[in-house]
Amino acid sequence: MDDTIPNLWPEQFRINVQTPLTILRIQAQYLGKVTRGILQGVVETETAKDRVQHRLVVVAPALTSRHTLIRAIHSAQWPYPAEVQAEGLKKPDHAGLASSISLAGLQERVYPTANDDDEMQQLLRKAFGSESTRALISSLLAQCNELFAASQTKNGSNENFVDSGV
Amino acid sequence: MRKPLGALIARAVREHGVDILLLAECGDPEKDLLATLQAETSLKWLRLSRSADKVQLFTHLPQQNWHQSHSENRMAIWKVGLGQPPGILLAAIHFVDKRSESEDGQMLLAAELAKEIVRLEDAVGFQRTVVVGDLNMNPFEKGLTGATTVHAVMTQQIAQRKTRIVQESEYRFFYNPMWGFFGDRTAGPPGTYYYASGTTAQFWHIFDQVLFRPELMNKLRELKILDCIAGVSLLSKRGIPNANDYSDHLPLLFQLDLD
Repeated sequence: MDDTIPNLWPEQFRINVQTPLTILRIQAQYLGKVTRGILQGVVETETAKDRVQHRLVVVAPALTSRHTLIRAIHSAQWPYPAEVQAEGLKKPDHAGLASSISLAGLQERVYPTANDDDEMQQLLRKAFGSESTRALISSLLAQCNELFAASQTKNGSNENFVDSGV
Repeated sequence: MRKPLGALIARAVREHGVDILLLAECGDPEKDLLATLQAETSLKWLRLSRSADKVQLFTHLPQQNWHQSHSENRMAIWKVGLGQPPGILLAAIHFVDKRSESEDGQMLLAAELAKEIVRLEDAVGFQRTVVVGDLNMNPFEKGLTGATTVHAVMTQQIAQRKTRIVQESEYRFFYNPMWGFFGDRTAGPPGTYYYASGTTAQFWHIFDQVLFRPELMNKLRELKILDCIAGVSLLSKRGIPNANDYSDHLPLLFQLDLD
């Protein structure tokens, strides 16, 4: 290799990059762990023309309900850039609007875009910690606990469904 | 600033004996809407949706008859104990609009809706499903007609086949009666939304729709686009929706005989 020409590639390129789908699947598994199985996470995928959408869905089996929490949308060919849609990631000025707005023919994105798996993970961390996500997860856990408490009362047991660590 | 609409909405509810009221894109509804509905109808009304939901659902039917089975801000699917057992599934939708999203983006949401409905129908063991809302697509667009999306067709004759096989996969039909409301050869206004811009303008659109699975389409007793409530016209002098005073969309009214 000719040492007179320097390496011009940025240092942040890594070889173990993960796709949005892989990252969402792993986070779906973690949801089951952190809620001790009361809630489950699954990832659903839809396609339309040349776009692919992966959704992280929160499932509450006791309530027989499902809630789409996050969408990652990218082209069918390339996993990045991926637009990450979640209530907690909306730009403040665009609360209540859709994924983008058209201004003089230009599309201004309402939701952020991840260009690699680092950015994808940062966005998911932000979305998971947002007020809207915390409210949803807390609501589902509370409803599950209430349901189970009612069921225990009916069966004559006073054991708690969820121990105090959750 | 637009006039408060609570009183007019409540009059429409009383005039037509409405049991379930769905309001799309209404922001946070007026705080006194429940009280206004109660005063107008002498019934106790509930708001079942969350404040973040794009479609707000109000009803005077007992809360225990409602179970939300799928939710996302733009779509909520309810199992409702209504009429003869086992009741119905009701999907309340507000899809993203065309200024904000491409056709592909609308199709992704439509595919998501279709998948969640089928999953729920399989779970509850019946297909008595109604989809209603501001779909931000016309009945002929791919997001509504595609087999992998909502798969809604224009006649009961086609829908009564129940499914269609495309590339070895079976897809359930919806019946979309809104096809029959386009133009001025039918009773009522020519659409639910008016928009005229660009070299090719359709002018009137039907973005607000109600769709039925074949199991329910014979239960439809009444369906109309309202352009007047209690003698008050919802249209401007030009004959298009009066967005300044009321809404840029005209409301839908439908009645199912579920007993």
